[in-house]
Order: sequence, then C-alpha cells, then structure tokens
Amino acid sequence: VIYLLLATLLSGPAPAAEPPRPTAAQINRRISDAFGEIEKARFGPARSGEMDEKHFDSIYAPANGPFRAKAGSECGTVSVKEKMGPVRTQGSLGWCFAVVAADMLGIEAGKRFSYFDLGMQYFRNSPEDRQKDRYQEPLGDDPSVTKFWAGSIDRAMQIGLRGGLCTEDEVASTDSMVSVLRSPNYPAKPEKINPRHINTEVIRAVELSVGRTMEQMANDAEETCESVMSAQLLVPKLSAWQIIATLSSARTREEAFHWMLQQGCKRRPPRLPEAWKFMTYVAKERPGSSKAADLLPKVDTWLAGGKPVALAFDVKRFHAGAAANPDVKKAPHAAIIVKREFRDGQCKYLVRDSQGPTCAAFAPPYNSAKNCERGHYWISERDFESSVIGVSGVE
Amino acid sequence: MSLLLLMLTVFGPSASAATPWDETLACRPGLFRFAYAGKKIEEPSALCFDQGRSILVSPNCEKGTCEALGAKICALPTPKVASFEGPGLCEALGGFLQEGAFYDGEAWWDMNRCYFAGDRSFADTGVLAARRAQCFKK
Repeated sequence: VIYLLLATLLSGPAPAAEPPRPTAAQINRRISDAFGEIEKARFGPARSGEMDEKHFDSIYAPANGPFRAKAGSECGTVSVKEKMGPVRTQGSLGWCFAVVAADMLGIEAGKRFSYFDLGMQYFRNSPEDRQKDRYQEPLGDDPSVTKFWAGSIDRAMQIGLRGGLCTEDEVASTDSMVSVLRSPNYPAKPEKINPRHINTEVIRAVELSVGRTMEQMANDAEETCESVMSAQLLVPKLSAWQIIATLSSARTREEAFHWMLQQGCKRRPPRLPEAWKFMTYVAKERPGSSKAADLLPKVDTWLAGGKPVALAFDVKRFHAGAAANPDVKKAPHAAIIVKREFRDGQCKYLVRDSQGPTCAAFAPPYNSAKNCERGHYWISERDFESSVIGVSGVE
Repeated sequence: MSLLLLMLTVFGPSASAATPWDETLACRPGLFRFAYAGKKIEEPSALCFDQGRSILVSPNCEKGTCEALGAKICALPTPKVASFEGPGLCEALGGFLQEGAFYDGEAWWDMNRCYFAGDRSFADTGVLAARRAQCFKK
C-alpha cells in the first residue's frame, strides 16, 4: 500500500523549488525539544529527590525472638483484597516491582494506575539501571524495554510521585506493543488501508509531521503497520497519525514509547498527606530470631489498618516453573499481601501475584482450589519465614 | 474386533497423557474476547475450565494432546527469570498471546490465552508454565 501511495506521489508534477528539508537528526532534535517544553510546561522543572528522604525509609526489622505460630484467636480475618481491583498480569515483562508500586500508589490515591507507564518512566529515569541487565550483561545503546526487568519498588514509587502516573484507562498495561517491537508475529493480516481514502495532501502532511518520506517509512511498512495497530491498543486516545508520527521520528524504541505515553495521558502526581511515609522493613538473619517473628507483626498492623503490604520474596517454591526447574536456584519477585485468615489450622496470608487470574502458574500445593483464588495464593507463616526478604507499607 | 481394539490401543490418542491440572475440567461452548488491531473481538469458542475459572484450555488440550501442550515446550531453554514464564513460553512456542476474557454461559472471566493457529488449540499462560514444569519431573 505504501508503495502504491509512493508511486502516486512520484508520478505527480515536480514541486516548485522548496527550501532544503532538514536532516533527520535536526527534525528529531526539534521534536525532542518540543516534547521537552511540553513536559516542562505541564509539570514544571523536575523536582528530583524531593520525596526521597522525607517519605521513604528502609530499616532492619527489630528482632522479636524465635518463630511462634499464631493461634486462631490471634489471627482474625482482615482483608484489603476487595479494594485492590482485578489481579494484574505482568505478561512477558519482568516488571513486578512496577506492578506493586502502581498498586501501592493506586490504593492511596483511589485510582488504578498504569504499571506500564510507571515501568517506562522508571526505564527513562534510571539510566544507571539500564546500562546492564540484572545479570550484569550490557544492554547496548538502545536497550529494549523487554530486557529491562529489575527495579526497586521504592524508586518506582518516588518516580510516580514526582512525575505523576497515567491511569490504566489512559495507558493500558498490555504486552502487545512490546511483543510487536520485539518480534512481530501477529496471526491475522493487518487490515489494508484503501489508498483511495488517502489523498496526497494527507500524505504530505504526514511526511512533514514525521520528518520522513513515505519511501523511508516504506522500508519497514509491515512493521510500521503492525506497530501502529498495537500502539492503538496501548494508547487508545491517540490517532493512527499521531502514532505514525511518533514511531517514525523517535530515535529509539524507548523514546517512541515515552512520546506516545506523554501524548496519550496527562500524568498527575498523586496528592498525599504530608505525614505519608512508605516504610520498608528488611529481614536480617540473627541468632535466636526468625524473619516471620520480626516481620509479620508489621504485616498484621498494616492489614488491620486497611493497608496492603508490598512483599519482596523468593518464589522458588511458589511458581510452577521455578519450583520444578532444578537450574533455578532463586526467583526474586515482588507481590502484595492482601488478606490474613486462619485456615486449615494455620494463620495464612493471601498473596496477590501478577501472573494474571490463573492458578496453574503456581506450584503445588499453592495451585490447588483450596489454596488458590484466581491469581492469589495462600502462604503459611512457615512459607513466609522461608521466602521473605522484606515487607513495605504505608505508615 | 480384538484386532481393532489392539489398533486403538496402539494408535489411538493417549488417554494417559498427563495434564498439568488435577481437577476435571468442564467443556462447553462459550465466547472469548480480546483486543486486536484497535478493536474488541468477541468470537464463539469451545472452552474448558475448572470450577474456580482459573484454568482455561481448548477442548483438544483438555485431553493433553494439542500443539499448545506438546513436547516442544520441554525443548525450550530455561528463561533467566522464572517469575514471568508463561507469556514468554507462549512467544517461544510461536503462539499468539491474547489478553482478554472468556464467557462461560453465565459470566465473563478475565483470562489470557495463548492461541495456536495450526490446530486451533489454546491454553492460558499459567497452564503453559505448569506444562513446562512437567518437563522436569523424573
């Protein structure tokens, strides 16, 4: 189709002498500057570090002695599950930290924030984190977001508080765009655009806004088409032309995402009380002390106060793939504890994972009908003791 | 007759193909909806699911004999990070990940599925992770 359009263009009369077209680098710089101005006008200058010390802290949990299982009378049912909305799906992205951060901020602000937007902001604002992947392998000049899979919940929340977040309605946390950029493999043929519906004026307008000729775009026409369709799923409020302009003029994939997300939503920093504090308690190995005894009182206090609890833990025993594969020694992950209940003679905690509403993704016995509730699974105090790294919540 | 029985035994579908779930699944006509090319597509689809609606597979996968749950999944390399294995398996197998929901005749349930055009089979990505886990059983 693009070639047909190109032929139509080329067969027309030669245009009168025009001023020389700017180079691609010049156009990209112009667009980049323009977006920078828009960003500054909307949010003001960056307020780096403003939230950090005052509202976030991380300490070792105080030692509380050896493990002691709670009796039923000490383990009444408390739940924030109903407030959390549908369980998340992190898809093929390793952005569990962004999922947790978006939900922890969302519950405070009463909104369902886009973890995809937050992950992309993290990617953009953490250059030190994207030099290498978590295995210290270099990511190259244009690191793919698909390789960027480790991050800090605290830092993600700070970025969201500083720059604001898109809601899920504005930027859908979908895997589709990422998968297309990585490896186009969509089953159906993309819908063909009828060239009769596009006149030369439209093409000229697109060329001017994009800064690239149709010939340049035609070099990867199929990929462009699929990317546009996928981008429309990601950022529904953008027109196809806005998406083409962005995809075609961005210098890197990360930049294309950033610009699309900027156009697709108005990020608003959540307004939180002055005394708002996000505390992290880290488990410390100490003789005569247990992680469960040290950390679970914090978990219980947060849940009793109607607050979810962010959990950094090892899912080696909880996820089907990690549990079965002897090559996987540890599987660090982040999730949220949303409920406590005395079940089957034990005090248990319900973990809201981000694998979607499935139970099959979890290892036995956590995948059984008794232990799993569509994307959530019950863990005992003993499970907690053997897997947890730290817990975080709002105080 | 005995020859026919023998042939069925030898060449018939393997009734003992171990499925990555314990519960008996219910199979019935339903709908699956997902977004594609900027549109919401809702298509009739025979579905098999568990009582908790936390497992979704196509009827040909319900018996454990379909492209989605074939032996190819055991030949895939171990991913670096196990915490998001399912969707990655879908892509590695050449399936098409469709985020959406299924209708069981009474209600809609959020669920993704990994669709294989060859035999029109599908399974939710949690099932793919569970099937992959079976590869390590001795």
